[in-house]
Amino acid sequence: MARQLFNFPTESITGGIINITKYKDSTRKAIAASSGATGRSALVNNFTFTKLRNNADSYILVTGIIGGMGMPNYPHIGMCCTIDQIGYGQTGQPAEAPNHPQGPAGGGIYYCGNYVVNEGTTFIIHKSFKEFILNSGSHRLDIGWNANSDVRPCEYINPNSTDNNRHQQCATHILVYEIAR
Amino acid sequence: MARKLLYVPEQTVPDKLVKVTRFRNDTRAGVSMSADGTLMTGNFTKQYDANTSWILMEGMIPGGKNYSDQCGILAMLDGADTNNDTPRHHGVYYSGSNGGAVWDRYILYVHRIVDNTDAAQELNAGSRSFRVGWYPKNGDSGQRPFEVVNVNSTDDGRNQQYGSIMSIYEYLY
Repeated sequence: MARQLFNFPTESITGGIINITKYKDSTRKAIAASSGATGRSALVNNFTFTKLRNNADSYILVTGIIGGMGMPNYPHIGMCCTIDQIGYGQTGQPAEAPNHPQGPAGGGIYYCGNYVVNEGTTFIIHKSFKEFILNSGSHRLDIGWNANSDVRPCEYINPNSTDNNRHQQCATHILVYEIAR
Repeated sequence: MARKLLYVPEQTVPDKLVKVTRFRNDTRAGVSMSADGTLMTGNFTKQYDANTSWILMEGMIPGGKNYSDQCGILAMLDGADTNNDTPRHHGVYYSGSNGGAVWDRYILYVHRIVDNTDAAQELNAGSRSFRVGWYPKNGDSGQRPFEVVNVNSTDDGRNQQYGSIMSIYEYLY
């Protein structure tokens, strides 16, 4: 005869990393100059992942790298990285996220390169979403820029030998960590 | 008759992290041209087999003075597929200023996910090694990502000694 204690969970969290979702993209892609909602998802578009625990138990951390090529003369264009399209600021916020202040979609991603067509541009992603209210279930990740005019941070991502015969096929690698609070 | 202990849950969710092995190199060095070059290497032990755990290589190498704007940069574990356009060239990239003066800086960043979409041999358990380097697709031996690694005051009197770091994370699926 087995007994169980009332109100005791059948599963608990020990702490640390609860889940990790991987994003890999090895397809060369031309990046068009764009603004507003189009630019916001130009680098990673609607990548869905599942959060296992509610907001009180865990938060999300996103890390990764994107390789780009060619850096047109748009040095600062409002790079953004967000979940569920929360906090773009410029044109308001989704109705489903009323508790989030304007603008937290920005940052967490930055890039560096030089203003030459054939040179590399490296994007580094490292963003904690500990302040976001994200419950269990399906969510989307979007990475790009949020500008009020048509701009772009590079001409191609994931370059290959089409761009230069010394290049191997490059690829974007991103991890979505779910971490216990 | 089975009994359960009071206050002990039936199941706990394990941390995905198995272990981390960290590497540092704080020595300035010239980078030689090659068709199959190496910037950083190290040895570590992977605890579980390819079906149980995967690897994240995450690190950064500071460079100085530009040379090849592209050279087939790579980050790999031993056992990787070494053909052209294979995953060892994914999740690693570098960029910086387009000049060869002492103050021209480069960042080489590694965030390579090695999992069951890659060669299984790259994820075997036991004594393993990693390598960050380059392999141009056209086989040109006159390539290198930059001329100096781990720059210091030799390059610019204002510099402190910089170093390369690499962390090898082993995670459970």
